[in-house]
Amino acid sequence: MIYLQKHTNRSWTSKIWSKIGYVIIIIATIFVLSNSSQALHRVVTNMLAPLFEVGGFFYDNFFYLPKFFTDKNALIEQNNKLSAEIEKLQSGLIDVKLIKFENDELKSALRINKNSNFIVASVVSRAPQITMDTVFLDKGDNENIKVNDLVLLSERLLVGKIINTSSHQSTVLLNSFAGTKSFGLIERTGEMVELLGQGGGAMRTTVPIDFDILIGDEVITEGVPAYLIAVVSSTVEDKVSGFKEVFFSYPIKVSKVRMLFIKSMFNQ
Amino acid sequence: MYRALCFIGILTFTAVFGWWLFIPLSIIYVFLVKLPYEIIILGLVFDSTYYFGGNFVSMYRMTILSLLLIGLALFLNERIRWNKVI
Repeated sequence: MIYLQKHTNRSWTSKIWSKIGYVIIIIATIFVLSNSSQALHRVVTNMLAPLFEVGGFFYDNFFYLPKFFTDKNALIEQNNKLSAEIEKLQSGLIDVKLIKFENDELKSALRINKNSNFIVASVVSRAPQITMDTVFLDKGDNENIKVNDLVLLSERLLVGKIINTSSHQSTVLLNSFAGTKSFGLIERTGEMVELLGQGGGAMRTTVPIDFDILIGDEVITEGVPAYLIAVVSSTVEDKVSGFKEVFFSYPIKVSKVRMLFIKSMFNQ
Repeated sequence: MYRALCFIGILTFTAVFGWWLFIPLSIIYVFLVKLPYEIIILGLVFDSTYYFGGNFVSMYRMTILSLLLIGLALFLNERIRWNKVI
């Protein structure tokens, strides 16, 4: 027996409507899922953590590859230069130790708690593996890291805060992330400034042309302890508008660091 | 089978080498695979992993991109001639 397969003559508009229906269902599903975004973030980051570590290892070593092919004489010359630099730094280190001792004495005199609890975390991945001015760390909820904890590069240099955590990983948002606003005082004058993140480790602000600010001025947070946020790197004056653009950067390249310190906001 | 491999490939390569790889890979995926709804899941996964900003478009950047691509594939379904349908 032969069966004839009959095509249904669906109109062009009904096909379009069915497709629009599919799109609406997809969007609705996404909105439902997005309500549980924090839970999803935890699951996904735990699942992808080994891949991020592999990627981090790749990017750490990838830029060292050309060094295997460099001239031996150039390496010897570089080694001598570095040895001389180490000697110079060692003499400077003695001065720093003396200043640190003096600082500890002053802190104890002012009754500031110097045994603040820092959590040391290693950088798992950074740009270009993840978005610029964000960093993944290898410590998370299980190590008592919470959202909004402060992230420091040294005991005094504040670079950002924690925005997401999972059980063994956390995401740091650097102050220089595009659109991020942070406030601070210019250490030399005590004037308040608003820093707007520009991405790539840069921040900027617009101030009146007669505003007292110089290249190298340090911007610190208000309160005790005062953290260093940024250093003025350049200024551009616009005499027509009567304002000047001030650009800031971190004193140390954040993109090169391997360790960061997390200070819990809960303890403060 | 090929679809699953492509899906895992995009997930792995993007996580290892960088978020930016999702953009070219998803475009290639849309042109290789017939109506690839899977990229929406991938977009959602990467949006919940990477931080692009606080506003809605930044928060769901990858998902929006994958929705646009799937929308394009959906409406050009009868126009595109896939050489080999995966």
